[in-house]
Amino acid sequence: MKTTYKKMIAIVAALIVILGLGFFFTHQQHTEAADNGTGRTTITFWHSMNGPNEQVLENLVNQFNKSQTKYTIKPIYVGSYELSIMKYANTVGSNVSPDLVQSDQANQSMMIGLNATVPVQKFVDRDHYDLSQLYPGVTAAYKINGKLASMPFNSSSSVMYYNESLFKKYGVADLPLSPTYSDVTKAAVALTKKSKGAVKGMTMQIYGWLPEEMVANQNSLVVNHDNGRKAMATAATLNSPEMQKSMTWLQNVIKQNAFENFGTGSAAANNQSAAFLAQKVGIFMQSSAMLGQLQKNAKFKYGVTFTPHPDGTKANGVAIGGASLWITKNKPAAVQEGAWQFMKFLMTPQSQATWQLGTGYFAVNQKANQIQTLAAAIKKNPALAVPIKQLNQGNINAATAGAFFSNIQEERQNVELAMQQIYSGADVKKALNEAETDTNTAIQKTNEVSGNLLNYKR
Amino acid sequence: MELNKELNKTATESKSKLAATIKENNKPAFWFLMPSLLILTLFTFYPMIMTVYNSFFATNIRGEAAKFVGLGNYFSIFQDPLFLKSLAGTLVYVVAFAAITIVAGVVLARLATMKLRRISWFQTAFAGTMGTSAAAASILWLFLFNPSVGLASFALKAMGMTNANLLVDPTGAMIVIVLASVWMALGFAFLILLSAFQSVPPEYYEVADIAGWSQYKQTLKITVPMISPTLFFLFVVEIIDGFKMFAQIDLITGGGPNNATNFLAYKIYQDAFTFHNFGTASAESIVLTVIIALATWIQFHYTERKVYYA
Amino acid sequence: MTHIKNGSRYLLLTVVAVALLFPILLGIWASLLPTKDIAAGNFLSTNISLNNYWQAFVTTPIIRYMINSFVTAGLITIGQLVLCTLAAYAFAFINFRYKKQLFFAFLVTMMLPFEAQIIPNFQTVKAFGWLDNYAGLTIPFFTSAFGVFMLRQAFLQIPADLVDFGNYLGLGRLQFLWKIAVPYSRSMLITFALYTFLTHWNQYLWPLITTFSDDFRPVQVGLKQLQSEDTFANWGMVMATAIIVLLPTLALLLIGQKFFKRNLNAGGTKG
Repeated sequence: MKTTYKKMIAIVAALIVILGLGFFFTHQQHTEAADNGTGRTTITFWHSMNGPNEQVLENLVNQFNKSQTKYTIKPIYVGSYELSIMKYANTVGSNVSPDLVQSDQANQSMMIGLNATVPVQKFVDRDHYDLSQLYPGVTAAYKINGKLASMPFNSSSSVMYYNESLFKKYGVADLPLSPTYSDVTKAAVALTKKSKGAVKGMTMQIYGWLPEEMVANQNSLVVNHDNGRKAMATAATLNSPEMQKSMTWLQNVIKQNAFENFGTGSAAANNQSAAFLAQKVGIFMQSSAMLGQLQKNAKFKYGVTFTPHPDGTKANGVAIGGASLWITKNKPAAVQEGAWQFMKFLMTPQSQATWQLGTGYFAVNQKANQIQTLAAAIKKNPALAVPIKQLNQGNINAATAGAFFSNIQEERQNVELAMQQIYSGADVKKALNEAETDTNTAIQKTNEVSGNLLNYKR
Repeated sequence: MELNKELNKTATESKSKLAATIKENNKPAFWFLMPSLLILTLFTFYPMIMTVYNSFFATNIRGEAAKFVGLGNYFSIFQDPLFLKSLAGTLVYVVAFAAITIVAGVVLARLATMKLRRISWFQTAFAGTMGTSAAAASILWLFLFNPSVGLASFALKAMGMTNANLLVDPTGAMIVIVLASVWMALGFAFLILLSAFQSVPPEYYEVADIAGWSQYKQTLKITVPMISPTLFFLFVVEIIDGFKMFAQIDLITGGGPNNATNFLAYKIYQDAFTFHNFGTASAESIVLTVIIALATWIQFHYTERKVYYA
Repeated sequence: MTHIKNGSRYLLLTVVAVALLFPILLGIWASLLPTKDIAAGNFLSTNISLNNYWQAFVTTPIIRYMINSFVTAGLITIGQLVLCTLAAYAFAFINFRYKKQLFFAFLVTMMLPFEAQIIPNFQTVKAFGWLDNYAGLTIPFFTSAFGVFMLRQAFLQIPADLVDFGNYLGLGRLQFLWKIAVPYSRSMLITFALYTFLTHWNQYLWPLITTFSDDFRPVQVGLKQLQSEDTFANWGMVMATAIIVLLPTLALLLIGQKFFKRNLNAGGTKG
């Protein structure tokens, strides 16, 4: 019995030693990830670019890695922007926290509140980097309290796409550059009727960002205190007359049977694109970032217009969408330096031109338009220049700066819920009111508990 | 007198011998159990306590417990229409899932116990869905019901449905989730029921044949009552699995449309990892635990499980 | 007459079998077709090829995903075999203080769902630095109360004569375990091992929240990653990856089905 006892202790001890060693070694692997043995510093880069855009990004990464010998950027796709910030928040301070992360415009408030990143302004000041080469409308969206917190990378805005070939085929007039709601309705209804239902006039994905853009275009806010830009937002304004106008317009198109509803989520986005490319749907509103995919896959002529606005008003402009790059705190100096160098590389006119040509996000560097390849492409297909035109023609005010608060996930979910109900015929005011009340509850709850983190100087 | 003394002496001697044996047994037993106990303590008991603890706090965006709210989280979730909707939806799903799985399983078992040659091939085929992972199954069913390329959507359109995209409709999405889940669970349910069917003595059926009972009547009046302990056991097991269901929601509906399929396990994940409401999510986790613990207790107590009696 | 009756019965069985396995059959069929044909609804196309599988193996990290799944499920299975056997031995062959209470403790863990403990477990694993790591994916599952019960049941069925014989031979505890108990319960152990491997090969929620890179992501979460990384639903390749994920489990089941049929009902709950 006693020898068994000793053997038992030996086995258990061995197990513990093995586990401990395993823990020790794997732990080491992660904290020493900075040096992968080739003398280069590895920088982990979490991004949300999927599909063909991922290819373009990886090409840029390879270009940067080859162009110098100090740093290796390791790109990792972490899912949608929603998933990405969730993972980032969950791993702050852990061994998997990335060195560089792409986070979208909507989640800026939360990112700053997490207090896990170094403001890019610090590096800008140190190197006297010339920020004026970037569009002021873009940097304005990413500055907080006058300082640039993150480097804008992929910028987009909402635009309207329509199938010019189908329009021609069924004798529908092209949409003007800045269409009104009735312009779009007329085209959608005509398209549906004349094609005898083979083509559905338009669709608008149930995606919370799109209504935000529609109200920005009407100089209306999503949350109070100047969209959260003047002081911490305390209430949402989702039931504004402007939002109601937009929703009523969509419901109107649905009632006239000229609308296709694809639902919500990434499956919906894919199905919507597939339907547009299969020429089963004629008009849809989406990020200008889709331009790249359409360029590659559309076997017909397509047109691009500004985000629509209600009749009798002037288009105010829309908020910048897309994402920016953030450098994580508490990382070795070499790692942060590498991240900064990569950022600068991505901001050069050449990189930005490559990026726009490959993806459809517009170049944020004003000099990119002078790069030969991009200039030629724009000449050939003027649609590529529409997002930048929309940016330049828009006003710079709180509405076009975009909403800045940390409950944007809940707000978008609530708006999407309202859209689902409205698409099914529910009363617009009631649905929006519900969305607003639910969002206010979420905002109040968060502010109560995290107010000290979020109430920073703007 | 002397006999008594003798007996007492022997009794005390053997008592002390027994005590000695037990003491000698404690140490090795401890070592045999220690690794398992360590893991269970770290990853089951400790988290359970922490979840209860977390449920009494509201957490901030960094995931830190910031404000003590006592039972506040519990009060608010039971007043939150979204949570109540989630709970109701979960109940509907779980009952539908368990019931349909059992009925379908019984039908399959009945078919697979017919006296035919090569019946074992069919038995293997019927168990074929066992072990399909939720992820792979979800992809297969997503494909079936995809509005553009799904055969099921084609079929529905051909039958005259205007909106053949079931996944955009709250009831339709629930139907697809139930179907996918039943399909996944059928293999296992079938195997259990098959073995139960085979344990019914054939004499009963022979007598019924003589009495002229139809197959259907025999199944209903002989088999089902005789395997009712297994039926009950399977029903409770499927209920428990139903409450834990997560992967199909994550892959097929994302909780929608309109939160129609935002069932409990998925809501907990959402509240915890998307909205960073660890406090609320912990309270919801406790609710889930209570439900499952209750169901498991019923399973242990009322089913003929000789396993658990020492 | 019986021939016609039998014939119609075989037909019924076949129809039911095909209907039941239809999603898998459809998936296999679609994985052999080019995405173009699927997108156009042309399911009767004759362009059958293994192209999609080739594409899946070459352009996606599915091989790495499979390796990850294999390693994690394997480590967990080994861990559980060792730890559960040890604990089951203690409950079956040793009388010790607090035996009833400890037994009850194990019982209780089976009533507490893992899904309700993910938040603290995530934080524990994060604090240990085990995120995105085999350690975080396997160590929390190195034991299972269900396994302990199942194996205890198997050990209790060892005839008392055999136990006495072991004592007579002067076998120590571990020797008895290794030389008599384990071989005698071989069938149950194999069933348990297959079941554990399968369960953890199919695990989804925990790997979803604890893996962040392709290096450690197992194949079930890999499916989701591939689905979200693709924007145009390359249906042919998507189906191929789903079938690649399914095949090992289907194969394992075919091999292990006789064990399952025999032992599942006797052993207890699904756990």
